[in-house]
Formats: sequence, structure tokens, C-alpha cells
Amino acid sequence: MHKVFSIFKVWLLLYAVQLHAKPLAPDLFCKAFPDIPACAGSALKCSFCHIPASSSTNAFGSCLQAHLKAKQLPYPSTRETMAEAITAIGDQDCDHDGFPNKQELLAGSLPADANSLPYADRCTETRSQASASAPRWNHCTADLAYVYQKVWKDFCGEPPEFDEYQDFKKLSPDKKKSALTKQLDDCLASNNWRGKDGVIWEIGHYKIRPVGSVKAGEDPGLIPIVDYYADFNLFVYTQIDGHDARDMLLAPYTVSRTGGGSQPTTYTMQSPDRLRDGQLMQPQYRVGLLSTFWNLGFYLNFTGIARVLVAQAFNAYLGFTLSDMQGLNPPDVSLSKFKDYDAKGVARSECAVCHETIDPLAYPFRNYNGLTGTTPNQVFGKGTLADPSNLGDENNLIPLSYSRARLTALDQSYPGIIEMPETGFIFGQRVESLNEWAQVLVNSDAFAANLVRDYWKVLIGHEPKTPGEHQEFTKLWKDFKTVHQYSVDAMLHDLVNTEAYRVP
Amino acid sequence: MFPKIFQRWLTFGICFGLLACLQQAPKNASSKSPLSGAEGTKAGAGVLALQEPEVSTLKRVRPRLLGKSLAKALNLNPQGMCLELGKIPCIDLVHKVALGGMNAYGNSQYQFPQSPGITSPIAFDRVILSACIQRAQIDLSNTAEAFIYKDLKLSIDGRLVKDAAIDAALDRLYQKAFLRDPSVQEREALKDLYEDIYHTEPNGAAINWMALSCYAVLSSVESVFY
Repeated sequence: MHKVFSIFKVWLLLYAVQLHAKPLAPDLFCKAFPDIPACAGSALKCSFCHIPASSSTNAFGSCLQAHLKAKQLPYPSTRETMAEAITAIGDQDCDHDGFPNKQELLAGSLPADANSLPYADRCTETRSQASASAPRWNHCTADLAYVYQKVWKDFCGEPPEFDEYQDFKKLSPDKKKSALTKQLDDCLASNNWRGKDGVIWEIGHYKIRPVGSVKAGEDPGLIPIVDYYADFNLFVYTQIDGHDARDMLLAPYTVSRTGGGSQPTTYTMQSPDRLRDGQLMQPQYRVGLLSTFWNLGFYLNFTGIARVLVAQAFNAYLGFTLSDMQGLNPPDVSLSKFKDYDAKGVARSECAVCHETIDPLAYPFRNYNGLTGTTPNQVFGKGTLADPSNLGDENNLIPLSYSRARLTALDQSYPGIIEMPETGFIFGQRVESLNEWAQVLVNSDAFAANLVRDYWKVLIGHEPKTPGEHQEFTKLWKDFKTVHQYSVDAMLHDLVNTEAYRVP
Repeated sequence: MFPKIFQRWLTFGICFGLLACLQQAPKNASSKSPLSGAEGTKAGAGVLALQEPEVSTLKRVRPRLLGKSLAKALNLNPQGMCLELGKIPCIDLVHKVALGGMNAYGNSQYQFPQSPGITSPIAFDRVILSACIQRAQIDLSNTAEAFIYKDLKLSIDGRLVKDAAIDAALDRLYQKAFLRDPSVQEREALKDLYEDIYHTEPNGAAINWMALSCYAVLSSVESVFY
């Protein structure tokens, strides 16, 4: 009996190790193959190898398992062993679609899905010749007249006038290029592009996630509680006029908006001034959209550990879905001090596989207060929040502020939560504050790729699919970090020059 | 009353529906190619006949662009171009999502719909037809000052007089809608449309033709995608 129990304990240990290994796989995979489309500026979902909502492996995952079993190899636990294992099944065709895994991985299609096939580039030599003989449209080389119309429609939100278009067509190729550049600049200043509910504003929707029913201030909802237009103003401001797009998650300042309708929309940076500039957060603790009234009020609310806020931030600014195990990279528990601080059961092995990453991501929000301790008098009376001089320092329990008293208050409901550290980990990197956390995030490849992808999807109409599109997309977001210095306008001037945009 | 126009509606609806299906449907088996054994370009594996990019290389016109384009092409007030119950804006509110827009504030819909919905063709028709009827009514009330159907003449029995003004009107319509002149076939097809309309219902054939020729052009694939 004792022997059986020992065997069971060994099995349990092995099972636990296996559970812990699983979320590492996507991370290891992308470290082994950082340049393939599924990894460049992105992260693998668990569905790459597993059947969604199941622990069973799909065709590709099963191939990998069969290979490991046949060779009597352990599950890969390093970048090198992962690279070897995937390379070893590279010539197999796990989903029986006629394309070997290696080719699918390099082309950006799914090696586990027989319906996902590598795309061809639109313009092969044969198709280019056919297109050249087409009477009206040239489908395979840049057609500047087509681009001119498209820039008008995409950026200005309307087509050009007939006469204007005819004049453009009469220009020499060089003059067409400069006229196109000028037109793009003009359209980038239009309300359609930068105005309220314009193109940039709409890109910000899934990042800010407004809720009309609780909107206060301009365009109030049925229960006006909180205003999120300040978030949109900041977001748009960071996307225009050559501003640094990273400021959306770093800015200590707020932005005001004027104009609109028939008037040009203007955004103006406000000097940080607590409460008077619309934010309760102390300027030295502000981290752009992460610490706004709306974000903390809606996504942190009364909770102790900012898991929802972090998951939303990863989705909005990196394109990672933590619930799909994207972006999991758990630090060593002895370093992260991961523990079930709020008694939610996150330390159980089946939960810890994700929460060992997610909770340390949330630790830098330790002293960022949502609504904990908020009293009706603070909000509706003539009390604290009506007068900046009442706010006091960071030891006061003030909502939507940096407040060291927050966990003291929460400790009454969750004994021990006060031990939660402020030091956290993002992408496996240790950070001492939320500002450092945000710095790591905005300087990552995934941030640049996600933001460029936002514009790519709006302007091209779909995510990169063909090998040529993947190549142009990767160059674009890499240039966004270096050549363009995070200027969206500069990136867009290059985007409209891509084959993907210019060829009808 | 407008048999051919209904055919056009039907054709347009089917095309839109097919597009919706194509965007959602997985690639079929016929597009797969067997391994040929030669060296590949990137993978170093066999060269295969790669799949044709069935992803749309054209984009769907979203509501804001639709509204502005229509207003510009027909010189109409975008706020009054199409109103449900005479007061609720079709494009900005009632049919916004069906036309491919997002309703972030009211429905927490933070991304554009990826494919057209089942009511998209109907909503599209509704908006275009409303705008075209307005243009036809305004133009017919004073053809000398008309924006599209300028100088059109009616005979004593109410028939449209076939003269150069019709060609000029159709040229204007295409120029405003597509920034180009119509081809000979396109122009003749729209002239034939008048005959069909007149033979179906002579009363009001002129204004019906004005509205429906406008509708036929502005609801075509060239207008819906770019």
C-alpha cells in the first residue's frame, strides 16, 4: 500500500511538472523561431498545438508528441530542445493539407488546420503580365491614381472631386508622388482622421472600451458617472503630429480637445495638475491610459489585485489574450514572491500555470487605487474630491490615486494581502514600479507590432496573410521602433507605399 | 413595378451574401495542391501551388465613407439623406452596424464586423435608394439647375426626350460616383433601363428612371468596395 502511494505521489509530481511546462511551450517556441509570422511581434495561442477548451492536442501537437514518444525524448524545456523537436517534424504534414509543417510555419498558415493553407502573393509573374494587359486597372504594379483615390477615402473619409482626380492623373510620376504625400498630410489633419469618432478614435475603442450608459460630461449617458473622452483625447494626441505613440502608456499629462464639426479638431497637452486637469492621480505616478480615472475606475474598481486590468492592457496594447495563454512567461516564484494573496485559489497547480505570470504582472498596481474606500460623501458631497487641497499625500485612502493605504484597507477583507509586493515582472523582466512596467511594455516588439497592426487592418482591410504582406508588415513595425521613432504619421507614409496598400 | 431593378437587387444581394460566405468559409479542398517534390522558395520543402489569396484585396465601404461619398456624389445634406420614420439617421444610427460600422458606446462593440451581416444588402439598398430618390425629386423640380439630371426634357405625353442631355447626365453620374466616364455599354444599359421602366409603368417613368439609374450605379460593386 505504501508503495502504491509512493508511485501515486511520483505520478502526481510528474503531472504537476507537466502542467507547469505547458504554458512555457508557446514562449519557448517563439524564442526558438522568433521570426516566423506566428511569433514576430506576436505570441502563440495554446490552440496552436491544442484543441481549444481542451487539454487534447490537435494534429500538430499530436505529431510533436508522437515524435517525442518515438524518440523517447522528454518534453522540450529549453529553447534548443524545442527548436530541435519542431525542426524534426518540419517535413511532416500533420494536417494532411499537402503542405509540410515547415512551409506552413514560414508562410504563416496553421500546421494543424487543413483549411489553413499558405497564401501566394497576389502578383506572380504570370499574373503581372495578365494584369498589364487589363484595360482599366493595373493589378500588379503600384497604380498611383488608385492610391490617390484610396488615400482620400481612407484618410479624408471621402473621394476626391472628379476634376481634382483628372488633374492628378495628368501629373508626371514624380509630381504624382509629391502630390500624394501632400494629400496624405492634408488628410492626416482632417476631422475624419483625428476628430472625435474619427478613424484614430475608432482604433482606440477596443483599447479604452467605452460604455455609453455611464458616460459623464460631453454626451452623457443614462447614469452619468465617469468620463472617458479624456482617454480618447490622450490616445489620439499620441497618434498625430509626429508625437511619440508610446506616450499613450507613459504620459503624465492630459490632453484637451477643441473644434470638431466644420472646425478642425485640435488637441492640446495640459500641464499635469492634480484634479484641475481632470485626473485624480498624482502626476509623478501617472502612466498614461493605465492610470486614468476611467481605467482604474472601470477595470480595477474595488478589486485587490489588478488581474482584469492587466489582461485588458495586454489585449489592448500587445494583442495578447492571457486567457489563451498568450504572453505567459512565469518568473521564478522565489523571485516573484507569487502567492495567493487574496485567497482566490490561484496557487492551485491548475491555476498557477497562468497566475504565476499574471499575478506578478499585477503587483506593480499594488498602490494604485480603484474605488476601494470611496465614500458617497467623497463623490457626491462637498468633501474630499471637490477640492484638491483635501487630497493629502499618498498615505491617504483616496480613490483613483496612488494610495499606500489601499492594501491596509483591503487587508481587512483579505488578510495577508498587505504583504503583496510592488515589485513585479513583465515578459520575465523584474520591474520596481508601474512606470518601469509600462516602459518595458511600450518598448517591446509586441507593442510596436500591435499598434502597426491596428492601422494595417484599417487601411489594408485584413491582417497580413501572404508572404509578401508578412514581410512588409514586419519591416513596417520594426521601422516604427527605429526609423519612425514611434511616430504614427511617419509610419503611415511608409504604409501607403507598401505593395499591400498600393496594388489594387 | 421595376422587374429589372428587382433582378438587380437580387443579384446584388446574392453577390453580397456570397462574399459574406466566402469570407467565412474555409478554403475548400479543390484549392489544395498535391506535393510536387521540387524545392520550395522559403521552406526548402516541396514547391506547392500556393493558395490564391482569397482574402479580399478590396475593402468594404464603411458607413462614414458611404455617407460622405453619397452626399458628395449627389450633393445632398448627409444629415437628411436617409432618415427612418422621418427623423432617425439611417447611416449614423439605425443601420450603422449592418452597414459595417461599430457601435462602441451603445453595444460595447469595439471592432468592425469582419463580414457583412444578413441585413447588410438591405440596409445598403435602403440608404442608396433614399438618397437617389431625393436627388431625382430635387433635379426634376428644376432641371435647369439640376445637379445630375440637368436639362432633361419631357414630351407632352410625359416621356423622357432622348437627347444629349441624357448622355451628359449619365456621364455626370459616373463622374461623381466613380471619378470616370461610363463605358458605351454602361451608358446604353442605363438608357435601356428607361425603356423597361416605361413599359412596366408609364406614369412617373422619368423620375423613376432618374432614381433607379442612380441606384443602379451607386449600389454596384464598384461603389460598395474599393
